[in-house]
Amino acid sequence: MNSIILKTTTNFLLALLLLFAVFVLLRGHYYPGGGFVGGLIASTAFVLHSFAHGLKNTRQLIRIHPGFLLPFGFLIAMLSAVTPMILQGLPIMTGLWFEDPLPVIGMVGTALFFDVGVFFVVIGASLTIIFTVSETA
Amino acid sequence: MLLATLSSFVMAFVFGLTKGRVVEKFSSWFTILPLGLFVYFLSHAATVIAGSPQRFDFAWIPSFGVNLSFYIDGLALLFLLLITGIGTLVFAYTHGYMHGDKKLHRFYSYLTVFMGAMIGLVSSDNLITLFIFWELTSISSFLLIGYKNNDPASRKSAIVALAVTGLGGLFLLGFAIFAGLTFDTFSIQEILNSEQALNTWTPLILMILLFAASFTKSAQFPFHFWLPGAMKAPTPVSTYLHSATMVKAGIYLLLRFNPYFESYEVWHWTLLAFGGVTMLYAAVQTLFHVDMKSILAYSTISALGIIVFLIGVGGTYALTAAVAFILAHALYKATLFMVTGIVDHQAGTRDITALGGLGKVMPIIMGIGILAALSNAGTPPFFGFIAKDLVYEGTLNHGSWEIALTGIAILTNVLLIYAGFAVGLKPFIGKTNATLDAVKAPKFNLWWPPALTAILGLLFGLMPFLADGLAGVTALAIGSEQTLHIKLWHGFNTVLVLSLITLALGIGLYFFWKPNSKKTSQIERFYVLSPQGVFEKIYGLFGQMSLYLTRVAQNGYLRNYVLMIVLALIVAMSVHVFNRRWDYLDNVVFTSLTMNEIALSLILVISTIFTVFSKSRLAAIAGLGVLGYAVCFVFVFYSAPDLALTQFSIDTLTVILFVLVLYNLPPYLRLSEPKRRYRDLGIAGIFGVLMTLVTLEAYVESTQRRSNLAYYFNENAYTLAKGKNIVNVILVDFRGADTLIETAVLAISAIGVFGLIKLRIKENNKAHVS
Repeated sequence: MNSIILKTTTNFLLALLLLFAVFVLLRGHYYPGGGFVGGLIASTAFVLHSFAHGLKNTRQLIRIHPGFLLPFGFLIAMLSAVTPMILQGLPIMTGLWFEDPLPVIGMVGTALFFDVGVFFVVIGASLTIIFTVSETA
Repeated sequence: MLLATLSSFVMAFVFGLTKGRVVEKFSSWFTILPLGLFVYFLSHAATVIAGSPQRFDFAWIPSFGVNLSFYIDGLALLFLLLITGIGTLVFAYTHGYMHGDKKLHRFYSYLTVFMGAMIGLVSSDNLITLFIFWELTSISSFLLIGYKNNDPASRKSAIVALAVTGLGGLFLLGFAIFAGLTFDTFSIQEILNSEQALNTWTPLILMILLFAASFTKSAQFPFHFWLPGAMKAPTPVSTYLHSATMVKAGIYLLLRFNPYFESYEVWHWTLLAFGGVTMLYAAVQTLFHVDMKSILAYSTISALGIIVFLIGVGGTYALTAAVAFILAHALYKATLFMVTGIVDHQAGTRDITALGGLGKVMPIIMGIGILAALSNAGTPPFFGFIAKDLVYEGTLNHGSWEIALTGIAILTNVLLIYAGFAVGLKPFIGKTNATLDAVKAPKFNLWWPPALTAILGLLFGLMPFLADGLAGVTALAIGSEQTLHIKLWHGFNTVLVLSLITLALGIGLYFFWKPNSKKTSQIERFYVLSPQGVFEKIYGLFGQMSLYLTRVAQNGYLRNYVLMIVLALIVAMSVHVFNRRWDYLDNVVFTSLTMNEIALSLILVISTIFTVFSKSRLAAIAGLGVLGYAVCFVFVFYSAPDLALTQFSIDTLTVILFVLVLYNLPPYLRLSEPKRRYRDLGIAGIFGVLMTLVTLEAYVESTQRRSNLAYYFNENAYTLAKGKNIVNVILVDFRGADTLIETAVLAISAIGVFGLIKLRIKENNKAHVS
C-alpha cells in the first residue's frame, strides 16, 4: 500500500497506540485492561506500521527479531512468580506489593511484573506469527 | 545428605559441559565425586551398624506429603556403599576404557545422573521421591544403553529396556499412590511400622503392584529379556548398571518391603516361583551363548533370581544369605565384567570360541579373572563361598520342601560356576588363536579397578568380620529376627558337603561342555515363543495401531482437526447435559427484547449466513470480521468490558492474519461434496444446541445460587490481591499459574509457526537453486 496519508498517520498512530497499550497494561489491575490486551494493541500498532511502510521498515524500527521478546517476557513472568519464593520463602506466585503507589504507574507488585511479562510474550508471539506469514505472502 | 544426593545431579551438568580436550585431561579427576560420596557414606557406617539409623528430612511439597526424606539404615547403607564404591571403580575404569571417545563428556554426565538417582532411590524414605529416582535410573540407563546411537541394535535395546523398566515404573507409581491412600502417608518407615488393619484385597493388590515394579527392574522371568539386550552398552555401563546397581533396585524394593509382607503366604510363594524359574532358566541359557557379555548377562539374571528366591525362602538364614550374596555377587560380577571389557578392548572380540591363550600376554588379567571365577564358584576361602554356604543354610532351614529348594539352588549354582569359568578362565588358557597375535597387555589404569574388586572378594572371605556388622544390621532391617554372624568355617556339616559337590559338578561341567555358536543358533529357533518374541510382536502392534490412529485422527486436513475437536466437545457436553434433570429450564426468565439486542442479533445471523455462503474468500473473511465485532458489542452491552477489549484486538489481528494467509491459498473452489456439507451442518447444529443448553444452565446457576467461585473471587480480589478488576486479578493472581503456562504455550506456538514456515521457505529456495 502506497498512500501518503496512511504513512503520515501511521507515524503518529504508532506512538499513540503504543502509549495506549502501556496505559491499558498498567491500569489492568483496577479497570478493564491488562497485559494480554495491551500486548495485542501494541502488536496491532506494529502491524499497522508494516502495512503503511512495508515489513522491512518495521523490522528496522523494532531492531530485534520479535521472537526474542518471547523468552524475555517469559523470563519476567517467571521471575515475578519465583520472587516471593526467593525473597521471603512464600509459596510460588504469592502476590507481593510495595506499600505506597508510585506516581503515574500506581501500585507496584509482582502481579504487575507478571502482566508485563505476558505483555511481551503476546507481542512477541503475535508479531512473530504475523511477520513470518506475511513474508511468505 | 541432601547435598550428597544433589551433588551428583549438579556435577552431571558440569561434566556435560566439559568438551573435547577438557574431558580428556580431567576425566580422571571425575572419580573424586563417587569416591567422596563413598567416604561420606562410610562415615555413617559406625552409627548405623551400632543400630541407630540416620534420618534426614527436607520439606519439598509438604502440602502433598511429598518430602525429600532420607533414611539410612543397614539396607540403605549396604546399597549406598555398593553404588558409590563400585561407582568409584567404574569411573576410574571408564577413564581407561573409553579413552578418546568423542562424546565422553555426555557419557560421564549420564553415568553421574545415574549414580545420583541410585543414591536417591535407596536412601529415600518417601514413596513419591523413590518413584522419581526410580524413573531417573530408567531414563539414564536408556541413555547409557543407547550411547552408541549410530548403531540400530543399540537404539533398539535401549528402547526395549526403557519400555520394560518404564512399564514397571508405572506399577511403582500405582503402588506409591495406593499405599499412600491406604496408609495415609508416603513415608516408607511409617508404612512398615503401621499397624493398620487391612481388608483381604488391599495387601494383595499392593503386592501385585510391587512385584510388577521390581520384577521388571530386576529382570525376572518373563521380563528378563531387556537385560541381555542392554549389553549393547559400553562395558563400564554393563558393569555398573547391569550387574552391581540398577538391576538391584527391584531387589532393594522387595527387601525394603519384606518386613511388611512377609507374614503373607502369597508373598513367599510368588517370590519362590519367579525367583526359582528365573535362576534356573537364565542359568541354562548361559550354556548356549558364546559372547562373554551375554553369558555374564544371563548369569546376572540368574543371580538376581537367586536373591528373589532367597527373599521368598525367608527367615534369618536366607535373608542373611541374600545380603551376603548381594555383596559377593556385586564384587565378582563387576570384576568379571571389567575383565570382559579389557579382553574386548585389547583383543577386539568377546567370542569365547575365538579367544584363547591370552594368559601369556596378560597374566595379571588372567589372575584377576581366575580370582573372580573362584569367588563366583564359591571356593573357600572366597567371600562367594560364605554366600553360597548361607544360601544352602537358608534353603535347608526353610521348613518345607527343603530338598526341592536346595536341589534347584545346587543346579543353578553348578551352571553358574560354568559361566564364571567360561568368562574368567577360558579366554586366557588353551591355544592362542592366530588372529590374536598382536594383542597387547592393558595399561595399569584399565586393570586396577577389577584387581581391587577381585582382591576384596578374597579379603571379605578371609576376614568375614569386615562385612559382618553391616550384613547383620541389613538383615535386621529386612525382617530377619536375629543377627547371624557370618563365618568362613562352619565345621564339617551338610552344607559344606553340598558346597563341595556343587563345586565338583561345576568344574566337571566346565570341562565337559564345549560351547559353540551352533548351540546358540539352536536355541534361537525358540525365539518366537520366548517372552522377547511376544514382547516384540506387541511392540510392533503398538506401532501399527498408532500409525492407524494417526492416519484417522490426524490426517493433516485442518477441517478434520476442527471436526475432531467439535465432536469431542459434543461428547463431553452431552455427558453433562443428559446427566442432569432438565428442570432448570423452567427457571429461565426471559426479559423483553430491546432494540439494540434485536439489531445485534440480526447482524450476527446475517454475517454468519453471508460468511458461509459467500463465493469469495475475501468477502468471507470480511463477514467473519463483522461477526467478531458484533460479538464484541454483545460483551459491551452485557458489561464485560475486558472481554470486549480483548475480542476487539484479537479479531482485528485475526482478520489481518487471514488476509495474509489468503495470498498463499489456491483459487476459491468448492471442495466438499453436498453430503459432507450437510453432515457438517448437522454437527454444527448439535454443537450449537448443546452450547445453548450449557449457557442457559450456567445462567440459571448464577442467578439462583451464587457459585462459590464467583463469590470467592468477588470477596477476595481486593483484600488478597489488591486489585479491583476481578478478571485481571484472576488472570494474574488467583489462576496465575494457568496464565504462566498459557504464556508458554503461546510462545511455543509462535516458535512452531515460525519453524514450519521458515523451513518451507528454505526448501523452496533450494528447489529454485537446483
